[in-house]
Amino acid sequence: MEIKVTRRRFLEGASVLALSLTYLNCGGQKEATKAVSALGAKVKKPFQPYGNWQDLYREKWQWDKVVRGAHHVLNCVSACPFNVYVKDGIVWREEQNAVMHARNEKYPDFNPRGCQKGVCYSQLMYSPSRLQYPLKRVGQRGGGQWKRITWDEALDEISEKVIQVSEESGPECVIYDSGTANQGYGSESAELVAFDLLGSTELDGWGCAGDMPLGAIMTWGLFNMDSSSDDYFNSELILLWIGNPSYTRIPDAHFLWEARYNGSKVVSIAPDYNASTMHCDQWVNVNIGSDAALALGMAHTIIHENLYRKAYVQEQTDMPLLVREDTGKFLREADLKKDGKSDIFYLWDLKKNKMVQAPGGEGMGVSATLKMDGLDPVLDTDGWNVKLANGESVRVRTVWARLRDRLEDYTPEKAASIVGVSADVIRNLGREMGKAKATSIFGSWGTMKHHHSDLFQRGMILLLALTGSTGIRGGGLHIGAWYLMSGLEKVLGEVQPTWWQEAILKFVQPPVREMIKHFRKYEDNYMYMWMPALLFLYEYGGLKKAVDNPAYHDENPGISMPEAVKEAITHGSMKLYPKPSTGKQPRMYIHTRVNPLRRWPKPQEALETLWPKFELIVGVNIRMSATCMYSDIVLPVCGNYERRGIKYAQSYVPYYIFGDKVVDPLHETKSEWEISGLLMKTVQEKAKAKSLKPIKDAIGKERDFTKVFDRWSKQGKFKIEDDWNYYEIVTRESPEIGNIGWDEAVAKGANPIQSYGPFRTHSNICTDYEANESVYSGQWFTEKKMCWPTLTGRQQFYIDHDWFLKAKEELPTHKSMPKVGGEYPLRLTGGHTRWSIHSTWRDEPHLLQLQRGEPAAWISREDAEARGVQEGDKIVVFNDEGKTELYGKISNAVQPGQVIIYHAWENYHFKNWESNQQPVPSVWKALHMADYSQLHYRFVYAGPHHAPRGTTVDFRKA
Amino acid sequence: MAVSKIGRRIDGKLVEPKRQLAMVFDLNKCLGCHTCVMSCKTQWTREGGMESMWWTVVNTMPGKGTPKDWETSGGGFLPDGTARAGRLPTNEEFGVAWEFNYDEVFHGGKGQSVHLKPKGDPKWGPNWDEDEGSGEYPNSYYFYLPRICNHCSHPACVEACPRGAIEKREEDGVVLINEERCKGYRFCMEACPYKRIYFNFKKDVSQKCIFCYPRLEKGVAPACARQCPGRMRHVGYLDDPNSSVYKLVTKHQVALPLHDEFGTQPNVYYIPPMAPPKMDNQGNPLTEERRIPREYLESLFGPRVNEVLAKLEGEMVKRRAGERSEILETLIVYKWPQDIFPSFPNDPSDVQ
Amino acid sequence: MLSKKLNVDLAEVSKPDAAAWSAVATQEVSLIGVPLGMQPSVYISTGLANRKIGAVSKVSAKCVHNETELAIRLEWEDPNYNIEQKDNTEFPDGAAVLFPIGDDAPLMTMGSETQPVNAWHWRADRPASGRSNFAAGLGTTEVTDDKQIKTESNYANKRWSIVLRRALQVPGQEGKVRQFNLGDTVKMAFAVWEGSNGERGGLKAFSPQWYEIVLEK
Repeated sequence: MEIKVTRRRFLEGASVLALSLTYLNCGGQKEATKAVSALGAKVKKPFQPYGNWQDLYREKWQWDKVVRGAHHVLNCVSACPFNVYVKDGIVWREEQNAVMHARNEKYPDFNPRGCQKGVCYSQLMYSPSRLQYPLKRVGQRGGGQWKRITWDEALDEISEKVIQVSEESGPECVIYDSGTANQGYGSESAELVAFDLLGSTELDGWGCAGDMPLGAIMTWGLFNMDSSSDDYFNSELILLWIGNPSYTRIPDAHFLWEARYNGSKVVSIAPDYNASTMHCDQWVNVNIGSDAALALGMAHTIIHENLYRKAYVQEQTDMPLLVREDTGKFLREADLKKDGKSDIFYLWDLKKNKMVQAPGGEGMGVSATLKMDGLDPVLDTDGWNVKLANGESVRVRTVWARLRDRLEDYTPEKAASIVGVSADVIRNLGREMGKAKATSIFGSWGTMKHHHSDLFQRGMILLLALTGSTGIRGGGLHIGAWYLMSGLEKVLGEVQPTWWQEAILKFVQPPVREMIKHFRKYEDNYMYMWMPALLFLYEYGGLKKAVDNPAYHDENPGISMPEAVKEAITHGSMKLYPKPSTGKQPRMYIHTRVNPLRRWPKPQEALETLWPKFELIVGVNIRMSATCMYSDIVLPVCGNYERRGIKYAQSYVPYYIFGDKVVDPLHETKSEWEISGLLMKTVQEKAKAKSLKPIKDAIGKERDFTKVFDRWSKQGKFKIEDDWNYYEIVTRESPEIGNIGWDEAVAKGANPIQSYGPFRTHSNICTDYEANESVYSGQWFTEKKMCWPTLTGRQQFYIDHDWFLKAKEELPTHKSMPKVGGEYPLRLTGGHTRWSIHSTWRDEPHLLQLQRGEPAAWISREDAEARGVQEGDKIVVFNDEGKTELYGKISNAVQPGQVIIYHAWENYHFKNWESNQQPVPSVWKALHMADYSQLHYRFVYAGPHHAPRGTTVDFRKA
Repeated sequence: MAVSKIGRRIDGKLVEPKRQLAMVFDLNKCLGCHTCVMSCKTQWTREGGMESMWWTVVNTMPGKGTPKDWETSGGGFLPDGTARAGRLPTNEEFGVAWEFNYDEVFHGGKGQSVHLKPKGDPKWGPNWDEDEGSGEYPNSYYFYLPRICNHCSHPACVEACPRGAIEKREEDGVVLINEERCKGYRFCMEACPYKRIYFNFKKDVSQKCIFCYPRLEKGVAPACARQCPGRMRHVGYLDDPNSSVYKLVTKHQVALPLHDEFGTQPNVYYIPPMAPPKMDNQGNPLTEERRIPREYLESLFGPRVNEVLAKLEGEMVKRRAGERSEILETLIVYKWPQDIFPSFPNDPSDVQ
Repeated sequence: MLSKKLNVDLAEVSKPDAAAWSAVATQEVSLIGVPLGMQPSVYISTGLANRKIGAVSKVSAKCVHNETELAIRLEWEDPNYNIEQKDNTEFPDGAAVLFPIGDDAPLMTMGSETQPVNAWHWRADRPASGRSNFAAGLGTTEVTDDKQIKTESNYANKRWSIVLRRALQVPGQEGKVRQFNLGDTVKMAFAVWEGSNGERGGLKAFSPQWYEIVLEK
């Protein structure tokens, strides 16, 4: 029977049926009732809520204990304290330990810090990619066949190889790589000590990650600078310049949007409309790679409309310094006097109406300051003639005058044609910045990954200097700086500060420039085995061909790459081990918690060229990384909640973050502390057994392997089994947290900074610490008149190095991006993804489910249509160097001509493991090989630098 | 009288709660980071049968959302108050918990011939169209829309369930599915116009956001709110004049319900998104024109969105001139947690 | 309708295609879709009012017992084979027989507070065990047991045939299930759910009247 009735009729029908049934049944009803009652059945009423059904979820929300946790074993720039909830011996989940106060009632507080990754480390630690046992490769490298081995077997094989290679070829043929993942303040640092003792080559991965603020180094002599996040509340204008803090600074981004509510104007300068742009007052949609031109166009307006802070420029910058018109070099004392110094400079004082030595020059010594003492240096001038010591007469002009000439190439109109926005947009932005009481530029590590990033950054710093924004509350460049812990100095390295050094550090505040000299000397003497990872790849990893390719450089590079490398190595300003002159080759590679094959430019080259040189490759990791997949022995490390740790402290948040051991190490994992101790012990035992004589290292210093463990353990002071003593010393010896000791520190999890401690210079913040105020950077220079750590002692916009002069980069300028990758119409950009911290979390299944489960590139609708690519298609991104296949996410937010690939996919996420780094040779700039006062190679300071952005590519439908 | 500012009374047939909890999501602070999503996941929906559930989601708007095309999937009530038929979204439209071939890649001995990927070539997921948005470059636009169960005052799910298995709690208006009564018929899933109800195939019951009631009962804010690093989820009782929720919803009326026309009287409110101005192809701001078309925002938040945005913009002008603004100070959240969930300030680690 | 007495182990008729069933008389039962207007859900009664419910219009029933167990065989035509619910949109086919727990009960309302009913419910996604349901009105169904009713099913030639069997008496379940005595005349009704038509819960085809079976002595 098919019922074809309207609803009403159907209902009527139903009632009829119901009635008739009731009628039919009425005879039996009473009896039935009786029967039921007789049986004593309790009939429940419909809709009556059952007793305790809500207990279901109440019971779910229970745990056995709560322990302080932190994510200290990874290179995340947000230090977040967590409470870790443990149930049945398993880490159940985590929640932010939100105990951080506001500095004062003007500012919001810092709670709660932690992102979607941090709140699911509990999932990652038990995830399928977690390494559980020591593994040894069976079959080919990268073949994915393993056999489980014991720790003893692994340690024996590794130690024997270390000894064999060191004895036969020298310890520098053992290559140790801790990349940028090992920068915590915890016991993982013991590993650095171990390889220092062995004399291994240590790859400095900082530049290889593309995080070198070379423009800041050239201009300020400082590696990084930053403020606390609440200081945005003091900024009238905030420029988010090549940055997407909604992705990359999740725990801090709220300060920006809250500052906007508080009255700050926030402007996004980016080619694409992104998660941060959406919350801004204005979007300046620049062409990719045009950022320096925008800065210079704004600078032109600021100067022309007389919006610059003259006194600041006179005092804090090199603008009044005199430059010889004949050579383009600064006028130096050595020019004017026989036996004069080459690092004393001059300006013209309008008051006395004569040329005087400019305060700040490096040659003025320890007591030099920037105090003007009534000077009124000339800025604008057509120049005049100066008589040199040799009798010659040369014309000199100020840096300012030269800058003004340079800026004539960047009138807003001229800049507009490069930047892709109107002259009005540039002019107005310049005006707003010129008028703002304080301007902050969020221009962090994302601004450093272009070939000409140094020029972008010099432009930004110029704007900040013209407007007097650096070194004032609410102003400055926000890159990312660190608070230090003095206690680390007690346990790291072999050389400790002498009593008099400690005394000086404690009672005197040495000038920044002097302290940096001290550090530099220390590093030269004791950390000489560190070398830039990119240079290593250049020489041994097959990168040379692409990097030397002149087509991949500016048409006027100042110097060619092969010449620059030769110069740097010959003069020793840049180290390269094994020294090519010895004919030695790298033979063994140990990578710890880093993922070089994921990160390195063109990893296919390294696999082809470098890998065959290695007789043994050892991976030490929490999880199965791409590089571990290509290794011979893989050692499993215990993760964040399985051991104690200290997160490196970031400038944004004035707290030190400590994590306790929440559960025992999973499976057969061990901490880096234990692994490096066991390794040292095994090496020492084996060296003793064969009566190994001291081995000469790369510079001829003797390394005694029969004593390495004794030295690692500080003659037994540190035990392999327990790192408590390490943490106790670090925390007890750190006035920064009030010398409270480990147990108290970790009980709180987040500990407010008490003071900067003696090593405050190293933080790069360079401002006295006030517990109840926001932190801003550079106060020592602007208020205390300390010299900037540069040749001139000033913010130095003029670099009179020959190569720079030749390249016409002696002053900030704009240069168009070289076509690294070949003649292709599109430019590859990228950035940190919101979904992972480098490759950690990249394979976490919950997070992958919130993406597409596989790598993706964001492409513009216009470019997709031109290539017949539709939503859901996969595309191949390619150039002359390589190719990679991924989803093409068609987005309206992408600038036509732009391809965005957010980073850190593992090679094994891609078909044939051809990762998004395959088409990226990442050619750095030859100028960065220069050796010029503040610009030189130092451990995690400057040097050859990863520059993946702006690579030329095209794509097609896969 | 639980909710009046949107102009309707609660359906007389339903329990009118003594108090009504509400959330306000400030879309001008949402980072799209999904910390709420993961916080909820680890708190409630990890066990077998719940793998694909995301009781809170964050959608890029304009977009198809979670589940795909939920906005046009029916349910809720017609203007005359009668129930509107809805559509059951498929698992894939919600986004299934993909399985990955970890073991094959890591230990399978297959080298580069296999790579890590979800099994079964998925075509959709809970955040598939992330950061795609709409508009023609450079007038591109998108924003993030976090969503949970709206704990409606006229809940379509409650009326849909033939077993009376869904209740609105008297003490706080939280809408809960009684899993002992639920038999997994999914009428609630059909009827919910926001499609925030999932089906547990293992337990044969429907499940959804529970507003973290076990936490509420201990004075602890829901996980998604307390763990939000963007500090954009305000939680409070609508009748508590000290709560930010009251200030934003009732006092200043700058928080709006989503798709009010669905007729369920949701208790989640949104501070509508501002955006940088539209511009010409030279980057010149066109201040008279809106980057996010107003028709689009009206389609989500109703006609009052214009008034609310004007009010917010006006407050920002005032603030820049150095004046005080209770609205903006409330949105800033100076003191967490008391300024954002005053009734639930406890730290969960202290309550057991 | 007679529940024929067979002197066999009822396991021999537990399979729907067991030969013994051919000797048992068939009762043809007409089914209609439930009247949605009666459903205790505003959404179903009004929102789904236009939905066509009751895709299966007849079922053939047979009934036997062996003095300890009662076995009921149902067979109906169903071109859509739905044995899973793996997607939100999927519902399995199902069937049930309904008895008043006492002598009588209102059928249309699934019993009442004073006259509850007992349903034996088979669902294609859990083919081996039926569920014993207690109900005292629409929307009050409660599963009281999922072991006492054994079921077997067979799908062939686009037809379902299933057998549900249970002990005549279930000690300790008085008032929750229908207990059977030899010689009893018992009211019985039938329902079939067509999964492909979104039929679940109250959305089903049912026999709008009680049938009577007599348990042969």
